[in-house]
Amino acid sequence: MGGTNIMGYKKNEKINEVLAKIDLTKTQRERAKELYTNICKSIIRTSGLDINFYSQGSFATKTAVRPFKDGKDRSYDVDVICEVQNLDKSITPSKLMDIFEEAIDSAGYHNYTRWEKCFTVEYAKIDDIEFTIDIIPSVAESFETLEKIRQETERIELVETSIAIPDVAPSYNKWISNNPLGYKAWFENQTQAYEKKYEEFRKGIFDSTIEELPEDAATNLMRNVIKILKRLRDVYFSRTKAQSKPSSIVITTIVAKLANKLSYAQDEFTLLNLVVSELQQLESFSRGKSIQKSLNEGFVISEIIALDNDQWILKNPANGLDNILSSWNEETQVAKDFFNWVTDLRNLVESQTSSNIEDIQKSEMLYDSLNLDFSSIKEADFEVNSAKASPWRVK
Amino acid sequence: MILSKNSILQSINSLSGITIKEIIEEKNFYKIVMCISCSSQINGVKAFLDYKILIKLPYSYPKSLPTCYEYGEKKIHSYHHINPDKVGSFCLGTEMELRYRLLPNYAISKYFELIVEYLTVYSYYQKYHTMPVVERSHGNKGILEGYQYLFKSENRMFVLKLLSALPVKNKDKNLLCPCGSSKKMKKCHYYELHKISKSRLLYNQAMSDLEILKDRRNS
Repeated sequence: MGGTNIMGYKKNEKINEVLAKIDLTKTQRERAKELYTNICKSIIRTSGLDINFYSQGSFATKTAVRPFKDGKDRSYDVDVICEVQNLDKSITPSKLMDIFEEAIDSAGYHNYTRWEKCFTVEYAKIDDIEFTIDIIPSVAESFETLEKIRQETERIELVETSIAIPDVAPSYNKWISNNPLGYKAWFENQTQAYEKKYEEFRKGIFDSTIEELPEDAATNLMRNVIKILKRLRDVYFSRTKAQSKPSSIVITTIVAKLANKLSYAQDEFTLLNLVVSELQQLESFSRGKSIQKSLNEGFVISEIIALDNDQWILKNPANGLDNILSSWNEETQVAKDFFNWVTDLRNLVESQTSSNIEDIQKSEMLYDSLNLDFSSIKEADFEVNSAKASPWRVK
Repeated sequence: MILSKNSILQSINSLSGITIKEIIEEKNFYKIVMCISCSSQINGVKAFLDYKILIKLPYSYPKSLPTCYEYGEKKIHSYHHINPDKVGSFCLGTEMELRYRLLPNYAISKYFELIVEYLTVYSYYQKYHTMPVVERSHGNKGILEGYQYLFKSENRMFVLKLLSALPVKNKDKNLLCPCGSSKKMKKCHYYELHKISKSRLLYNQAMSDLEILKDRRNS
């Protein structure tokens, strides 16, 4: 169904073709889980602590993609929260880090690095894929902080699972609040809501030729759009050498919220296209376009991201104190870089539907944007040596 | 070098995606209308070029270098390598560096490739808002940077000493390098100096650049 033209370029099939190349396989996911389960069990054994461990971030929301940085594919990095049940914030952050370091050492893991907030453990390559696991020590968040977070969070029932993570450097020794379980629960709510939307959409079509799709079709569709955007981001920002790139939580939150506000998209390409159009509104807001005008034109992004007194606001759904767009307010260039990326996304989406571009070139453009190899692709007609080319400035 | 319509047409045979629409013989130059519709790659990133370019190729080429600019509708906007002239001609590089890269025989196809290169760099810049190559500064500073790159030396005085030693002949190989490194020239800057000395045009260019660079106001 959907997206596949009877003839010509099958843009959604292409999207699925590239998704297969940036995705983690089931085996890889299982291996990562096995690796972090083993190390966490060892930490429990050697530390004697009561630890509840779970993955966070893209591994928890199943939106992980093959990492790409500085022009190269990188190792998968899985974040694992180790929430200590029998300690609380009365211990100092640095002490908690020290306890974990000792436990990791005693467990016989020597290939690790201690950072401000976590320990990165590196694993040898298997099946050409390297893994690193970030062990993040934590304790439950204090009652006072939970109360403050509740006041700022829309869905207060999500706040309870908040944790405190150590942030330790020579010049500071502090706790940071985080809520990965709350975020995961929120994301699952979003995918469930999207499944409902999909059901309603199906009811609206009395066409028996439409095949029955697997139960989590809508969830996967949403995840796929997040994955493709994340990979497009990694490649684009690796090429721009911009200071910072939009974080995964920003992309995930925006797509999940938008998908549920927009009419049901039949396939990845359609949803991607809608998301990009909504994101284009943000730059217009920064240039003074009114929210009302945007709403009148049928866009809904202003209900998700606010621009108040030149301050961009998108609250972490599981922690209202955490404005996940705060970097845009601290440095306007960060927002500008985001808008430039959105312009590039628009050009890519348009190239895929253009009637003036040959099909083979459409594939080439898509693959280039994701920095993927394509066996049937022809090599470029020209290769420019960037060490020799040196244009002369006219001003 | 004898240029003719035919030799210009033949020069693009090896360049895929480049076609010549028209060659007109003007008083002092050939006016060439060229379509560039090809893919190009820089730093592993592809660009898809689609441009119409007008090239003014002087009959005196390579003594004088050609100029080129977008023909018809302009697709290149607000780019700091477009000259502020009426037609918006491309600033491909310093004269010295262009000539150096057109060696050994100033093949006109090589010049066409420099245009493709220029458009590829622009395409990257337009998409990613950053230059994928090192640029030369505006004006005389850029001329100096060109020599600094060629001689692999940051030092302005070294550049001046090297240029002042021109022309360099075969028999000078075993002399001390004029840059002051205390190495024999053949183990230092002989290759670059000899290459410039061998070409009358390059040598002339170096001499006129030396006059500009000697002027302290340009340092």
